[in-house]
Amino acid sequence: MIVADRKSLDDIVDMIGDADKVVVSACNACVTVCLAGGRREAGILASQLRIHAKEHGKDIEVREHSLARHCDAEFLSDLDEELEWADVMISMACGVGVNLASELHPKHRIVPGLNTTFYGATDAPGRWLEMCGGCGDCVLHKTGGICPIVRCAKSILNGPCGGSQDGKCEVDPETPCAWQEIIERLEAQGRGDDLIAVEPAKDWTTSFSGGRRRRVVEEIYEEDEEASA
Amino acid sequence: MFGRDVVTFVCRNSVALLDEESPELLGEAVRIVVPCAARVDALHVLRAVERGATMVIIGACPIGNCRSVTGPEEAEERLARAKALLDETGASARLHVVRAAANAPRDLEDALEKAMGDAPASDTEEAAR
Amino acid sequence: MVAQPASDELKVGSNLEKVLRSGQFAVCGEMAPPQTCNGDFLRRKIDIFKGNVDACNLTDNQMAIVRMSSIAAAKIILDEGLEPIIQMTVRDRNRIAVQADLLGAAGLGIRNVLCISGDHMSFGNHPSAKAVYDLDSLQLVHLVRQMREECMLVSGEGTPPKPSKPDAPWNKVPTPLFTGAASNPFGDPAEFRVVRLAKKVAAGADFIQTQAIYDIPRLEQFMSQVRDRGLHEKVFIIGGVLPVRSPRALTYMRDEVPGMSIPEELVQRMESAEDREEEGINICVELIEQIRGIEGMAGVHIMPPMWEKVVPEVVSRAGLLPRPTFEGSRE
Repeated sequence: MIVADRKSLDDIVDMIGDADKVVVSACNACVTVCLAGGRREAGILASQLRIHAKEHGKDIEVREHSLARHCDAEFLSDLDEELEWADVMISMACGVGVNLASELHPKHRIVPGLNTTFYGATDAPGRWLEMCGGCGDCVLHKTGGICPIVRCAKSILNGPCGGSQDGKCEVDPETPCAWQEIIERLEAQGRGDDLIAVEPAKDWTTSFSGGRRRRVVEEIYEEDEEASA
Repeated sequence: MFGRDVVTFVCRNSVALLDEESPELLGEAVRIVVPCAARVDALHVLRAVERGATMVIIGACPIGNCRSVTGPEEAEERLARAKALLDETGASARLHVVRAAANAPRDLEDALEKAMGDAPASDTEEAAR
Repeated sequence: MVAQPASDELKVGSNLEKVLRSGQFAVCGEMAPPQTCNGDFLRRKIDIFKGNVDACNLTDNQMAIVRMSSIAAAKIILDEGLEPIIQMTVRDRNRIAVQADLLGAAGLGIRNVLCISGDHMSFGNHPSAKAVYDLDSLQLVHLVRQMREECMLVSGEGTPPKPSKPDAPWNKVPTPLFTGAASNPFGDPAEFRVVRLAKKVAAGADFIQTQAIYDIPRLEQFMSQVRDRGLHEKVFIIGGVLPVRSPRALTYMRDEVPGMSIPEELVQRMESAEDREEEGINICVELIEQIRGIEGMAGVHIMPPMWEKVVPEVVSRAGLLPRPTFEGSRE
């Protein structure tokens, strides 16, 4: 799932500027699970905005709203009425939702209420951990299912670096050294020798420095001839 | 003692029962009976403040005497979160957890008196310790 | 007892390589480039090192604090007749910048490079910088060797030659750099440290510089594993020493620097010493002598942060003078 954090109220107040009518739209998917952008969190933000406005002698109207998913066009049409009414919409979805909603409603101002942080999983109630960097060229079969790209602070493919101590990363003593974990896991599987080979320089063309990536399934996708003409 | 600008969330196993016996303690305060103090979320607190509450009190069981085991401790944590969210807005409502067993009206009276007198942060912090 | 890696043939002909291949115990120094553009900062220290060390490391924005580029600093000391070893991190450069800088360094006459991952930017004065880490340090070692031995870039460009460009320059000109890598004998996981050293040798390291050594028994354990794998015959291992002037410096490293092993005995010696500078030098000299006595150790790398002037005395008292000279070497 996609994990996100709420932006600070100050940042959000700055973003909405002097808008009088604000809609806060929750997303009931990933960001609800990670307690960042669900209905409860949208309610909290809306309430904070109303209290903030009152404290600062402003008169704004804040509506609360939610969608099953912000990353699917079919749900986003439900925004029409709210967007017509509002001066600005604060999306409590991840960055995918903000992009797609803005693309489908290009005349309306839609701002992010969250900072989208990573692809992760729930580790324990109230804690989520990054698991994947979406690099487009998975190496997990070589590393015992532990991603060195995002779980090592230096994305080392031939680790660990000299800063690994007592199983922890030098960058943050709370973070386990991914390479210590990789070595332990592979050795436990009797595959320690897999780590002797030097892993060559990674091909990053599949990763995020080549502009927007896309995936096409040819037999399903039908190009819009008018659009491409 | 309290007016309508005070909103209380009272645990049905302790403070709500005390309130039935001695309603004068909470005076005119708004009562919302909850199944456990831990049920109170930051959102409930903000909603109360948004609608004009100047003080929000969570009436919990004593520590170690909670049917849901850790209700009073959880209530403290949720209230601390609510306080952080409220601080962001610049509003200054007072937020307290008071603890008393169903058979200890004096404890409730003392805790409420303390809540009335204290600055909000210190009370929460002291209780958290 | 000095390591004798298999080939006596010079690959690059740097002074450091000559000393090592001649079987003599090498001595490296280290300078941190200035945090300003003041080249005299380096020139003033030349006499401390010249004649006392075979080559001198120039750190690459160590602790992720912005300093003069290690290559520019290396050129300054090279012009003064002191041989540089540039440190190159993969923290700040992608493979394009790495290769451009290696070509540039070699073009300026620099002949030694130490390939390292670099201190993470969260430690430095620009913690908000975007990390690069396009390559890792092992891949950097491999790349340097490939540019030298196969005249080939990391993309593979150059072999086989493009039919349309048979005379493409990258096909013809080797990049002459004596290739170093770092190793921490005291890092975790302990058993894997030797495996990683072996990987660095396999990737093409000519020499290794270690983390600062204080714990000789642990170094001996490490070197015994190194010898079991025959690695000391394939790579020159240069032990790091870091002279200190106070017990606090030792306890700081023990408590704050990851991957350091500091015996309590040394802390006590520094604490009870009347003349702490003198005791610091004593300890450093003893460590060098002990390192020199371990089979497979090919040299020492003296890293005196903010205390460069101690180098001549340490080298002299360790009996490492005069430093060898070779016919045709620069003065």
